[in-house]
Amino acid sequence: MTKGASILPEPQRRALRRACRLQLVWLAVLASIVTAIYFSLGNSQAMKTAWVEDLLSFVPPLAFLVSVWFEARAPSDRFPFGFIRGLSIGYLVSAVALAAVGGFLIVDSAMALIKTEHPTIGTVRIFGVTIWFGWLMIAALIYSVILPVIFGRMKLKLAHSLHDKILLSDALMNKADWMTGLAAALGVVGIGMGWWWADAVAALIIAVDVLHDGVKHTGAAIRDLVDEMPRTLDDSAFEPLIREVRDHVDGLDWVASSRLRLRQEGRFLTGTVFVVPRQEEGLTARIEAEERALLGLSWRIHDVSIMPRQELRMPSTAPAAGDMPAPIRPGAIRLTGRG
Amino acid sequence: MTPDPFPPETMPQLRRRAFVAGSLAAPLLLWGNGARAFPRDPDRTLASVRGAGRMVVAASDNPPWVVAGGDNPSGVEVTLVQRFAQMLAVRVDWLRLPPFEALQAVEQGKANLAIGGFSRASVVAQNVAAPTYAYFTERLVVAAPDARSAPDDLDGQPVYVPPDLVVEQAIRDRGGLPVHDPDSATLIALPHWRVAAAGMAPTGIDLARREHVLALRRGENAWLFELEQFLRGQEAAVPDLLEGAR
Repeated sequence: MTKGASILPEPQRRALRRACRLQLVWLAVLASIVTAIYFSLGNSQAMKTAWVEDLLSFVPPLAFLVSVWFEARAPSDRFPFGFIRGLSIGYLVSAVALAAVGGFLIVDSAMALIKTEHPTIGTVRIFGVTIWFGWLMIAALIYSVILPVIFGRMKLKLAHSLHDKILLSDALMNKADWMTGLAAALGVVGIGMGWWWADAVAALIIAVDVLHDGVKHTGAAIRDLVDEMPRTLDDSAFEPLIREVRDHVDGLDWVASSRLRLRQEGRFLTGTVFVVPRQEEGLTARIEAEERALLGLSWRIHDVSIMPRQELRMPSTAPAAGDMPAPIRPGAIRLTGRG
Repeated sequence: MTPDPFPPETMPQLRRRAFVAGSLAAPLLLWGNGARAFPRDPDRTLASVRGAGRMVVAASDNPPWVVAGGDNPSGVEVTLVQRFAQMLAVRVDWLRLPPFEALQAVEQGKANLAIGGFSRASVVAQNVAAPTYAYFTERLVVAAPDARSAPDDLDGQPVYVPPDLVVEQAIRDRGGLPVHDPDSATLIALPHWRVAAAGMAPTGIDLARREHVLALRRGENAWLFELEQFLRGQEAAVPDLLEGAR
C-alpha cells in the first residue's frame, strides 16, 4: 500500500493508511456480527434476511482494500495506464451491492405486508420481573446501530479527503445498516402499539431510501467508467477542477484556443487538453512545462497530456480520411495528409 | 462569454432532512400515546374479553393436559385456564375441537385461546396460531424397573414405547430397539414426571424434550402478555396439577 501512497501527498497518504486500518477493523467487527447472527438464526425468516444484508456489507470494504492494493501497483508494459481505475470498478461493485440490499429489504417487507403477518412478541423474565420482550429487542437493536454510526461517520470524512467513492458507498451501506436497525426498533414500538404493519412499513421506507442510494451510485459508477466528465464526490455537480484546468490553459499567452477532455480514473483526473499554439517555437518544451504545471494544480490531477493542433474541430465536421469512417472523438481528428 | 457547459448544481437536501425529522419525532409521538397500555392488541382480544366478561377456549382432548369427557372438561391446562379466567373475573365458554381445528379457531377469531397439550414445535409447525412461552418442559426419558437394572446405554436393548409418544427415532439413534408390546421389554419410555409415580427408576437417558405451550391468535401481544404473566406465576404449580390429574 505504501507504493501506491507515493502517488499521493502526505495528508492523503496518512488518510489512506487510516482508511485501510479502519476497513480492516470494520471487517473484523462485521465478521463477529455475522457470526453471532448466524448462530442465533433459528427459524426466523426476518433474521435470515438481516443476515444476507450483513453479508452484502462485506462487499464495499473488501472492494476498497482490493482496489487500494491494485492502485499501488506501478504501470507496466502490459498495463501502461497503471491500475488507478480499479477504484472505479470497486465503486461499481459496492454500489450494486448497496442496491441489492435495498431490493432485498423491499421484497422482504412487502411480503410481510401482503401476507398480513401479525408479529407476535411475548414476554421474558428478568430478575423475577416479567417484561415485554419487545423492550429487549429495542435495546439490542439500538446497541447494534452504534457501531455502524461511528464507523460510517469516520469513513465519510476519509472519503471526502481521499475523494474515494468506494468509501462513500461503504459509508452509505453503514447508513443503511443503522437506519434499518432504527426502523426495526420503531417497528417494534409500533407492534407494541397494536399496529401489526408498523414493522414492515418502517422497513419498507428505509428500503426505498437504500435502493434509491444504490441505484443512484450504480449509475454514477457506470458513468465514471464510460469516462463522463468528472463529477464531484456526491455527484451533485461537475468537478470544479475542470474549470481550473481550462482557466489555467486558456490563461497561457502562447495558447490561441483549447479544448479539454477529462475523465475520472479512481480518485484521479486524467485526460487530454488540445491546444492551438500561437507560435511553434520551443513548443515541446512549453508543453512539457505546462503538463508539469497542471499536475501542480491538485494532487488529483494525474496524467493530463497537452496535444498541439493546428485547428480544433467538432466531430461532426471532422472529415473522413480516405475510405476510413470519420472518427467519433473530436480529439482524434484525422486531418487529411497529416499524421 | 459562452455559458459554462459544466455548471455546478446544488442538490436538494430537503427530502433527507424531512426523513430525519420524521424518524426523530415518531418515537416521541408513540411515547405520549402509548404510556397507558403497552403492548396492545391489533384485534383487541384482551379488551373484548374483559368487556364481554367471557373468554372462548378451544380445547382439544389430550390427557392429562385436557380431558374433554363429561359435561365440563378437566385436566392440567383446563385448570390453568380456569384460574386465568378467575383472575380476569370472566367466565369460560368451551369449544371442543380436534387439535388443528382448535388452532384454526383462534386464528379465525372464533376462540380466544386454544389448549390441548400442545408442544411449541407442533404449534409452530401448523403455522396458524402463536405459541406462548413454554410454561412446562417435559423430558421424555427411559425408565427401568429399579435402579439396579438401569443400563448405562441403550445398546441393543428393547424399549417399550407407549402409543401416545413419538420417540422411536430417538431410541434408535441411541442404539436401542423401540417395541410396541409392553411385555417384550423391561425398559419403558416415559415423561419424566411419570417415572416415580409408575414405580420405575430413572436411567439418566433422555430421549426428547417437549415444551408445553398454550396457543392464541398471532400478534395479540397484550393478550399474550397477560397470559404469560399469569402462566409464569403458575409454573411451580404444574407438577402438582399433573399429580392430581392422574
